[in-house]
Amino acid sequence: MQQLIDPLTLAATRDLAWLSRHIAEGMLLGVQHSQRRGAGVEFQQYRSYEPGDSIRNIDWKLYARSDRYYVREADQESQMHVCIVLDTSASMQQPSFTYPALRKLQYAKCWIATLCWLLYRQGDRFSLLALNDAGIRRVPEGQGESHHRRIALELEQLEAHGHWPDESRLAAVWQYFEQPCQVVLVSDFFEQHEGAAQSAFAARLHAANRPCLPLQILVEAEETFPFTGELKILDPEGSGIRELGARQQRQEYLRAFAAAQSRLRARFAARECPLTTSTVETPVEQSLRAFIGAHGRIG
Amino acid sequence: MPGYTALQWLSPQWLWLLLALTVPVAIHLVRRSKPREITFAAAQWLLAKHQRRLNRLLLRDKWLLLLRLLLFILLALLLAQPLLQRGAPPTGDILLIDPRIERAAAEEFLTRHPQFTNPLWLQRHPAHFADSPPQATDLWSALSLLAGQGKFRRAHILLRDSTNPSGHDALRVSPHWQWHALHRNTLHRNTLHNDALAAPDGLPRIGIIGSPPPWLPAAIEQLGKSLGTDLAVQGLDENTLPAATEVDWLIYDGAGALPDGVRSFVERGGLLITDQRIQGENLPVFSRLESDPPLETLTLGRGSWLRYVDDWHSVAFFQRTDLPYQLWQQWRAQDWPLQHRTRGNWSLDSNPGIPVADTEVDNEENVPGTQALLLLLALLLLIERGAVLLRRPAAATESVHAGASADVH
Repeated sequence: MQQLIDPLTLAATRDLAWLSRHIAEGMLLGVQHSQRRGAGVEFQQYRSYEPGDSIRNIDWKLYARSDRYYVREADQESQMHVCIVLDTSASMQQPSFTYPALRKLQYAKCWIATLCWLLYRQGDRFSLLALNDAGIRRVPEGQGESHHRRIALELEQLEAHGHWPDESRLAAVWQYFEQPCQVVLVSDFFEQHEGAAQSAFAARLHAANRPCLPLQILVEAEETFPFTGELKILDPEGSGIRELGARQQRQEYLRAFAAAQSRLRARFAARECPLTTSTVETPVEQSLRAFIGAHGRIG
Repeated sequence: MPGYTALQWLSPQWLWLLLALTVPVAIHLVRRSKPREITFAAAQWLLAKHQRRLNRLLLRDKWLLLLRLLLFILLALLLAQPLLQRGAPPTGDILLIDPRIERAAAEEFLTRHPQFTNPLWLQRHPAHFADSPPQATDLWSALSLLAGQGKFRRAHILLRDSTNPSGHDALRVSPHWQWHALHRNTLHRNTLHNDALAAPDGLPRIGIIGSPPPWLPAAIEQLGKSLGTDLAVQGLDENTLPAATEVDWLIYDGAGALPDGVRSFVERGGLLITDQRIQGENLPVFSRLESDPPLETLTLGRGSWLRYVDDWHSVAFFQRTDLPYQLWQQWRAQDWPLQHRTRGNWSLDSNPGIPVADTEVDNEENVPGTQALLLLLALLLLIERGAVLLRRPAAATESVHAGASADVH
């Protein structure tokens, strides 16, 4: 597949709204879709202007009267609400060893923004939930281009640190899943205790009849362990620094990692939500296509 | 000791550079003790029990380190300029042959002495006997030079004569040399140079043409007395000119041009003594000697002509108390064959040479080893650079890793 955006551009670009739109429109080339903006859409409400709203939506007459910016919101029929849950624990800060400027989080942000653009073009509603133990960042569900821009702005501000939130912190999150929705869970699924954390979160959503579609983001070196010589390993979520000889560890590591991966894959397969794994070195659109192909729901 | 080799250094102070060997070792140690730092989120699958601290004691890139150490060693050696000394054992089968000896005579000597398997011409740089004989060389200096060379320490030396003219420098000889001579001749020790009036074995034969000044016979008689022997004086006549082999000194008294016969006598090696009245034709200019009575001299062919500036019949000429002695001095000084005969000689039997002690002998041939080292250095440098270049891809990823980890922290 033709690579529209190379990883270095991806790493260097900060304007997620533009980047994701560019990638998504590239994916949508030739795809028929209905025009959802403009005529035929019933007026629903005015709301205050927020950063990310298009200037075109500002009601200038109302501005002339009130000296305030109001945005006309239209009532759109929507088929689906997709809640995108992003793991912002410290392990997502892992950079690629091939493109050191590109980190898992940056890749995930671009991937999510692109998915949101696709959802917007489909007329679906989407929301964002970024989780780590320092706090929960949320963009409530919405739709349209401005919502996409809002999500992109929120994504741009996200930073990865800490761990995946524990049970008590997660308790505040469940309320957002009361309405029927689909969940896209973006994480590296590196759990301190296997079956805990993200897996348990997905299992609980699944039990609540909220399908949770997982995207695992890795860096290539985690799959291949190409190192030689003496290494000083800094685990972003663990404590301490480990020193070891790469050559002696390689076989053992690859075996353990592959076993963990297959167990993870088996858990999601059991819930009919196959795990899509992507490395940050893979082009976003390619990874997105693989994800969409695996679930057959979008695009 | 045959085959013995030793190493000498021209500038051994550079061997201190070997201390620089610690530099690559230190660099490798430092690099070893600093493992690469990486951030690796999947660290949970790396097992702690596999840490091998022993591994850290081992150096990485041992071959590269070895190469670099070798490079430093070579550099130090190069700067110290090694001289490889190849032993040159003194051999007794060398015969150094005096170049004055005819080849046939030398060959005959060699057939009589078959033990000399390595005959060489005696000269400053001895050439093989089979080569053409060298030009006449200064035996004295050639022997002195060879005395200090280990190869010729036990050589045999074949000279033409057992007595040979002395040189001006001290003769240096090897105490191990064995001397041979084709002709045994007795050494006539002459002390003429110590006492000017002492007569040589062969006294000059004096011939007189014309009417000599009246004081001359008396002077010659007086000389003879002081020499303790009679000086033979032949009266000759202009028509029966002597050959140069019969008469050594010819006293010619006359006036006018020099007769052709007398002139040819001089040209064949005789010494002519005249006064101012004899004139020569087509002759080079006389050169004036600082002497008393005043004298000028001219070299003609192989002999010379002494001419007194004054008329020797005059009273002023012969009224000197030491006239016979002065005449003898002047005439003897111009008689070149006599000078040659009376020159200092040395004999094989009483060798005047100063022995060169074995300890002083430069027993080795020096072979500079710099070139081979330089080649080796270039080769090793190429290999080292090649090895580093081959490692470059790995190094590149390493720097990427380093960049990544630097970015993280």
